[in-house]
Amino acid sequence: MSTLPAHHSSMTTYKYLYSVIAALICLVSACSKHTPTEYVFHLPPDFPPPPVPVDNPMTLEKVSLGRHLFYDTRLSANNTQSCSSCHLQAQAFSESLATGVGSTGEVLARNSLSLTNVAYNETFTWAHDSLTSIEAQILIPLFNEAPIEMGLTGNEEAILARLQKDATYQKLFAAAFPEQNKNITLDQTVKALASFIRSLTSFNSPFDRYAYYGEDDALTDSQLRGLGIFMSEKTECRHCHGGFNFSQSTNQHGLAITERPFHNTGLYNPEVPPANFDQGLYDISLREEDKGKFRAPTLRNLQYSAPYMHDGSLATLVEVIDFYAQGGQNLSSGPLKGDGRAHPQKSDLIKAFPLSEEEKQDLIHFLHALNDESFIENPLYSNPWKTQP
Amino acid sequence: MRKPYLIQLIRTLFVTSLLLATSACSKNTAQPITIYFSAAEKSSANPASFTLRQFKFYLHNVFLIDKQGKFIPARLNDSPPWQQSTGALIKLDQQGEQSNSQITVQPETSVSPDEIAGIQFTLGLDFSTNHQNPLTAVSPFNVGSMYWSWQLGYKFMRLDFSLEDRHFNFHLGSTGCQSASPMRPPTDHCERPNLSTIQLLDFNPTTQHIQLDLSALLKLIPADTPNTHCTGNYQDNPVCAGFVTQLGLSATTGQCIDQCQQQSFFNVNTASAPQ
Repeated sequence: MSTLPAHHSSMTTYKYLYSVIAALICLVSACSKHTPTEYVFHLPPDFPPPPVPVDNPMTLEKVSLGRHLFYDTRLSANNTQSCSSCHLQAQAFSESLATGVGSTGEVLARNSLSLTNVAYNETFTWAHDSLTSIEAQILIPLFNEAPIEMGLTGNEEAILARLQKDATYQKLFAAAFPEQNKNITLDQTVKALASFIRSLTSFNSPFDRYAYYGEDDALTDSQLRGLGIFMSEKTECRHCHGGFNFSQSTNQHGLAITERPFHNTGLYNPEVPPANFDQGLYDISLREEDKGKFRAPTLRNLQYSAPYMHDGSLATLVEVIDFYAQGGQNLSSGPLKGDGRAHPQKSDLIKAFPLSEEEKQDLIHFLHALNDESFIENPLYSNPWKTQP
Repeated sequence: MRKPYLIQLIRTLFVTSLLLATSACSKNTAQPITIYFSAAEKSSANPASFTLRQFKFYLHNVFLIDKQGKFIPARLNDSPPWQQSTGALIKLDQQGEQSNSQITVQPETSVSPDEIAGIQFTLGLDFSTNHQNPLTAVSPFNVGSMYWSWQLGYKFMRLDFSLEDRHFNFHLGSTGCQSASPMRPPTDHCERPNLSTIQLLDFNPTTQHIQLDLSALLKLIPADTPNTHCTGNYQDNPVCAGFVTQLGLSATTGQCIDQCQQQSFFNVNTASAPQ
């Protein structure tokens, strides 16, 4: 008999506990409507995640908002251009023009870079050693005035007002930035854009299947021979395009010792430099040794991102390989006439090498193995404004 | 019955306490030792203007040698980003945060700093560290510029410099590593490991440091030598072969000649820390 009351009382305790837990679950689920969901990067096993700024953690809601903004022409002053105008998914978020064209028709100096895995970039753009976050980089196309790209300068309020009016954005901004007030800000816009761009990871090429998923048959014999040529001392490709992202300018979570490599590849060395001649990193640093130096971009999705070099002056991979096999470029005519091979700042590791026709084909086949079809077809990266079929 | 049991218990307790005391002692008295490195860049032997671009190397397997000639294993402290117990990266090509001119080791048994009369370490990384999964490698093993491939592993030493407008690249590492492709690690040893044993006697880390003598290397380079890349086939080029020989290694076998005792690249400098 004596156990019964005790049992009874423990039953009440349980009932009480259950109701508390139920209430808590209700609370949490209610909260979760407003608490952003952590974004998990799509990476092969053991891959190091990219670094993420402390003040802009990755959430699904910000990525979704950023994706809408990325594809929205209302973000340019004259409603004609979005980020996606120059960064097309089918071309691994680059474009086929040699150099970009801004929203008002002004021609840019450089080729629109692929956004493949830019979350891992140590620095951004073709040559800028202190642009170290996507958030900082985005301000350039948004606000650039010489030349005008998106043309936000002076039109910030009008553009934010456009977004503010849209019911879709009201919901998306509220979900992405639940703790902030209802007025859409530029800071939120940039953080969301950066989050979407940071989510553009691509690690599902045949090379990745071979190297990181251990699938021995993912590469053909020709591609394997090409890999050997790529990694060889003869070509020295791996020196500037090494590591899991095929760029020495790669950062990752947990990397304490960072280097910011820029290289002069011997592309130009004009006898009489024309006005506004692009000197790469030198134009930022004004240091003699930085003349003609550019950042080695990733080689992933290379076939999709033609044309090549900072000015898009080489149209095909064959031209690029021929260029490196000659140890640079000697132009015998034109405004840039001069021997780039003899540039005093040319990288130590760019030197002419013999390459048979078969070796060249193997190398190209290997570079094609860096194509990630699932990246350019990934519906999560596509235009969200288009009605899904 | 009872007495032997007690004696045994007392014995056990005594031995245990003795062991405890010893281990406590060794913990208390074996102080970590810091060893400094520097590069002597100026060369009177070669008047051409010299520019150091990159100079980095890995080392592991450290021993301190006492005055009686006894080798005391000294474990590299786990102190990232520059060193883990499996290896340390020394970087002497610039000043400040992005360089490192020291290692800190924990001698396995107690040794008074005054008693240290020499040091020995292996230039490079052991086979398992050298061919570890590059994706999960932690600092200092995730430095891209020191990495070759899963097959070949790391550059053990990278020395890039210019003499006027001529460029020289010395990249030492294991070669002849057999695997299916550069993206597969070798299962067996490499044909030419190129691991140099550096032994310095008459060296005391509290009053002296280790200096890397670039001038001796520059003496090997004839004035008209064109751009030279020593990135694997060391025996094919006399300058590259000379570089490898200075590290005590054979350019043709990748093994120590005479236990690498003829190396002349690492020297003792009488200053306690790099100036």
